[in-house]
Amino acid sequence: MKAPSPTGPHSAIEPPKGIALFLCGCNGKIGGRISLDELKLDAMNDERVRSIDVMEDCCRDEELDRMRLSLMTGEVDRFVVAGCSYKTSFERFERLAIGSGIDPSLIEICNLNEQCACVHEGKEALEKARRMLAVSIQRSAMLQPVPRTKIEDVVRTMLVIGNGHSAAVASMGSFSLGHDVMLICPGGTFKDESHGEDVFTLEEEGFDRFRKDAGGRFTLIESSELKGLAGGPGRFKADIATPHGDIQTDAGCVIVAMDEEEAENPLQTRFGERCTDQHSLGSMLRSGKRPKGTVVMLAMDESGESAFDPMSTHEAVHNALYLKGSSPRSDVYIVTKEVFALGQCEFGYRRAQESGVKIVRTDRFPDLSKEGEMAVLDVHLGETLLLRYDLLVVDNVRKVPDMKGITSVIGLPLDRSGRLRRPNAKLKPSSSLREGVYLCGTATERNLGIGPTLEAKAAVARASASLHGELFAEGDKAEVWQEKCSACLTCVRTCPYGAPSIEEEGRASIDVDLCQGCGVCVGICPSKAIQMCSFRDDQIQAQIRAALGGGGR
Amino acid sequence: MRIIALVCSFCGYASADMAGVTGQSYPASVVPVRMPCTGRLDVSHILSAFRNGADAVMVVGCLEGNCNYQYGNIEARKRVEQARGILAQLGIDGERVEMFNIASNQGWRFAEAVKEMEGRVLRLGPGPVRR
Ligand code: SF4
Ligand code: SF4
Repeated sequence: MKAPSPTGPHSAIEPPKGIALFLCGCNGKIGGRISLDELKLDAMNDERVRSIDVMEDCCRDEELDRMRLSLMTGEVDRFVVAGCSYKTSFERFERLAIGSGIDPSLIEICNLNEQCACVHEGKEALEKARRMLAVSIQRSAMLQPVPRTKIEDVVRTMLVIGNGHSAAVASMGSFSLGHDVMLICPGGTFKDESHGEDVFTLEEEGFDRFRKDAGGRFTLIESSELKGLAGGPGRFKADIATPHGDIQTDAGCVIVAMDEEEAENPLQTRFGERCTDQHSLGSMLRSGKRPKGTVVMLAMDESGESAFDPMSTHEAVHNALYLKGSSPRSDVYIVTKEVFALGQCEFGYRRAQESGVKIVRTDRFPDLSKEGEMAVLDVHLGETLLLRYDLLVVDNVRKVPDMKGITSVIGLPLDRSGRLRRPNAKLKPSSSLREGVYLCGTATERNLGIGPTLEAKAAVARASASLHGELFAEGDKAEVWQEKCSACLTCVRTCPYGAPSIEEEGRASIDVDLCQGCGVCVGICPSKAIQMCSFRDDQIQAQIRAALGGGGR
Repeated sequence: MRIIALVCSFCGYASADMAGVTGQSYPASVVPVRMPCTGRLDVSHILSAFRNGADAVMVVGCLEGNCNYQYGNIEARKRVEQARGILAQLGIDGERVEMFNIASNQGWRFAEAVKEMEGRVLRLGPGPVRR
């Protein structure tokens, strides 16, 4: 077995040059409950700690200046801030580090606020703070610089993959933020179906105008397919199969903006002549024609479940309003289980009610056995109403397009219904599992409830922001110490991102572009051949020892 | 009493933050050690905690199905089970280690989890080293 590689997660840990410690009082929140002087005394006995500053409130600019002075003495190469949650403060200290010539991977934050002062008091709080600080100083002393390379010539072109409205919005949005855009449309021609959205957007003609404005900076490739995607943010290389042959293109970010496609509503075939769907009604209204007599809109499917998706209720409300607006005396009903009113649709919904559209709430599919008649149970009245209709309007049904090809190329999972899975709807709503790839469109799991237009804009905003300024290939990634690897394939099978593979020499190696640094492979490798720079086993174990009062070393 | 909480950087850490922000109180015997994801967990981390004097170890990750890295927390649960098997051979009660899945906004559940572990230690007595 060879000696550890000289750099990276397997190298011997160099002792730190020196640690600067900042004890933040958090404006009394910590300082008022825990004696920072006691903590300072503890730290003074640790020869690794070269400077200690007790601060009032690290959030203040003048305090940041003071910290910068302590960091620029040349005595320290890393620092620990004992203050609030790293979730809220990390970015600020990252900027401080960069501005003070400190490697940002050598920052450690000890959360004495939320995780200590907020919950404990008196001697207990001090005792816990001591142990937490010991853990952090130990961690700091063992941190190693995480390799970080600046990406030269960042590509800022957006590659949008989509088939409809969301892709159009994503393309227009990207262009307006200064990006060149390439839109590839798998399976056939590109349609901008902005209907159903016009309740609160006025972008119907926007797309053609955009194409004219963008000129050569927008490329639309129809009937094409993504065949390969290598690289990461700012330097993706996409292989695309087009009807005119294969091409390769560079991209900064990828936005997957797939929408559901139109399908036939089974109800429509059942009721034939007297029945239409919301889209057809919408175009009829726009062309100036009006249906005669009573219009009943049935916003549910055959099993009595409410609208197929929230957008259909938008359409129903919108069309009903339009109808009432142009012929106030017509009778319009919306029969539904519940009304989804998103965004400004809430407003439209209220106006619809005010203008006399009757909304009937029911909990089951109505009886439609007699032609031209609907018997529906109104749950509020507790009675069955008999509605005679001249036109029955049903929802437009959509189906999820086949995305297996795209997803296997990019490495994204699908849910059971074939929609794209969102890895974390709460914390990172537009992100996908692959760094630099963003999601929007109705063919995505768990719609965010803000409507496709806003979702597409959100994805664009995030993608564009990620390409702003200098870009680094960074983050703590796993690395295989190949001499130790026994090629057991465990990591290959377990990695959620498909990053490890077995190389020709029969040893595992990890693609840094795909690795997200979760550490699953590190914990599972039976030969202990994989480590990460900042979460090595020896680091974690030393922290555990420090937490238990033992010396970390 | 000494309890080690191995928390993931997402919901595990955030739920402890939330417990603080919402003023839940829980025993001060717990000290968190942060990992990228609970999937990073190695059985040796749990064993070395006991070897160094821990009375209990809790592993806190995101809810199942909501792991920031897809299924790291499910791998972690397997490793907690594995550790229990080894602890049993050493004559250490497997109840001293537990896997918790807590969402980032469930501060109260983090507090409950710490109380639960403290209760177990009170019942089982001090950990193997400190007995
Ligand atoms: S799990 Fe470890 S030993 Fe097995 S192939 Fe991966 S790196 Fe090699
Ligand atoms: S750290 Fe996670 S993402 Fe990276 S290779 Fe290992 S399992 Fe895959």
